[in-house]
Amino acid sequence: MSLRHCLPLPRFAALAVLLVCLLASDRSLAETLPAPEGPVLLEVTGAISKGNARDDRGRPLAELDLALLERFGGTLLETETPWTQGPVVFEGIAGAQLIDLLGVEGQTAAAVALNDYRVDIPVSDFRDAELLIAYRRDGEAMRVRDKGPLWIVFPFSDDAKYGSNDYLARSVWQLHRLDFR
Amino acid sequence: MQKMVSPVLITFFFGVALIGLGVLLYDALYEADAGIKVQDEELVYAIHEMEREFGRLVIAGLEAEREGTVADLEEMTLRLEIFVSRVTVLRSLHFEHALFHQPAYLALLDDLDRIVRRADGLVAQAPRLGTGEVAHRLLTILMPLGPSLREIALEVSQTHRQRWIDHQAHAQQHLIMIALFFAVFMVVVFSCVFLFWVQHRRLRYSYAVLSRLSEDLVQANQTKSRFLANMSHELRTPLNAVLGFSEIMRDQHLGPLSERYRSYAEDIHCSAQHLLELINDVLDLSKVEAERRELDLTYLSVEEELRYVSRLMAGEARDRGVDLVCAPQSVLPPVRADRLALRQVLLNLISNALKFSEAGDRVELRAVAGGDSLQISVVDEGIGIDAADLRRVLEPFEQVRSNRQRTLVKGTGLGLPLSKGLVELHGGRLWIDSSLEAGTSVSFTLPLQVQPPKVLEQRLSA
Repeated sequence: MSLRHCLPLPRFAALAVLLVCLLASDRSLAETLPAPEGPVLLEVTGAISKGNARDDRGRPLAELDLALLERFGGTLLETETPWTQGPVVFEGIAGAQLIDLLGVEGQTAAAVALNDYRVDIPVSDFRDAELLIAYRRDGEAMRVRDKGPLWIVFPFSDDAKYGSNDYLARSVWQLHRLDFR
Repeated sequence: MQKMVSPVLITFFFGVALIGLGVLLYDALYEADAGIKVQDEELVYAIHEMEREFGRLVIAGLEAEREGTVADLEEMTLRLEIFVSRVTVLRSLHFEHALFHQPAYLALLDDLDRIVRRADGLVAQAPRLGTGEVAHRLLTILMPLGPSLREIALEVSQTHRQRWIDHQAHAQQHLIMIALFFAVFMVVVFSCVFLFWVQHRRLRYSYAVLSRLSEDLVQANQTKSRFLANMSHELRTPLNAVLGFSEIMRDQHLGPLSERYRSYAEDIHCSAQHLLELINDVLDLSKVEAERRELDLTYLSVEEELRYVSRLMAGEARDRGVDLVCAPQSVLPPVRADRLALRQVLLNLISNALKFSEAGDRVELRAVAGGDSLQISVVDEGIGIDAADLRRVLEPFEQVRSNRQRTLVKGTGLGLPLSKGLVELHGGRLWIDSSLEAGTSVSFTLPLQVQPPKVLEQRLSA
């Protein structure tokens, strides 16, 4: 029995096209966001359209290591902070860069720190407020004991509004996960 | 005399009250300032976070001790890192708090530093010692820390709670004080309003009483003046007989009299003459005061009047050896005045000036037009008047004695007040400039009409 006989060609073709499509879509996901190679510093879940893995419910999940953050980030911000002395230069991925990179669609991000501190940050802050997810401080990677490895900072020196309690609460140290909704 | 509430006192009271209120409000606001509380809360939060991370580190340690996998070591290391970050946060709190001076707390901080150093050393030895051993040793170091950590955390919470309760009580006290203050303030404000109302009523009452009194006084004065005017008139009639018959006797018209009787008759005549002058002056003054003196106003030349009265007085001046000079300004506008009144005033002033001058002195009549009035002055070089007496001489029946004239000068003392009254009836003003020994200048003004009167205009155009 030939294959052609057993399986009607149109059906087979349709299945093949579906498979190819699925593969292609998976490949495109992989193309836009490479898989992490080093330890994952930031997990991004929820209302994002691109990622490099899938969560339990099959939605896109972005696992970002330092190399990926550096590749898509590289934004510098010089500012003073309430927790440091004198001006500090942060290097990180800007909120807008992250949104572009992952195709964020939600309105709010729940930012979770290593100690399970959790705060909601409006996506508008990512887009407009010069929010920076810093991975280096004064050129050095930040240890967990120094509020690293990721630290959400705002340009505190540029605008007094970032000194308000709301923004101080959104300046998450030891950032670990972002969940967009 | 009713006692009045001084406005200064009231202003002072309100000032003090407002300052008091300001201080109270400032104090209350300062108290309400969240600064202290927020710092307290930061400390409470930092300590509890640290205690929590301590707990999670211990759990991770126990897990690593039991399982001993690399993942457990990593988890434990992460928890250690987070715990260290919390210790750092606690150490970074810089504000004044009683806790920071407590030996137990300072000892705890030292312990923490030491433990962190030892823990770091242990983790570095993990490849050599193995996860289980590292975890075991770490737990040995950590475990004794638990109770003191808990103790400090509880103490901070309780202190914070106590401070919060104190703060609430204090704030409540402030509120009560402010409320009380306002109550007292309102009472005082209402009292003040009430007091003002009462005073206002008193003032209105006093004003009514005073104006009634003043009306009565004016009435009484007019009655007096009317009485005097009538009486003077009645007194003059018998005087005429006295004067007439004493003159006949003095001049011995009806046959010779002994020298003694003749001199008595002369005394009678002289006294009667003086009495008549006195009565005339009183009559005139009373008429002026009772506003019964009616002015017969005509346009007259002041220069002519001055020359007329100086001619009249020339004889008396010569008798006294006084040089009477009439020196009015060359061109004077006509004045609308009562001719007799003006002459009366001038005669009064000149005879006064002569009376107080001595032989060889000079009395000058001056007249100057200026602005809307004409000023006439009688200037003498006589004995002058003491500044203290200046006001007195314008009062009725007042005469001034001087050292040079021991005896009272002859006269009624009514001349100046009468002159003043007559000038004022014309709408003018009379005043005296004088200094002792330097002479006296009595001046008065007569108002000049700004518009030339119609009669004059017609005469001019004709």
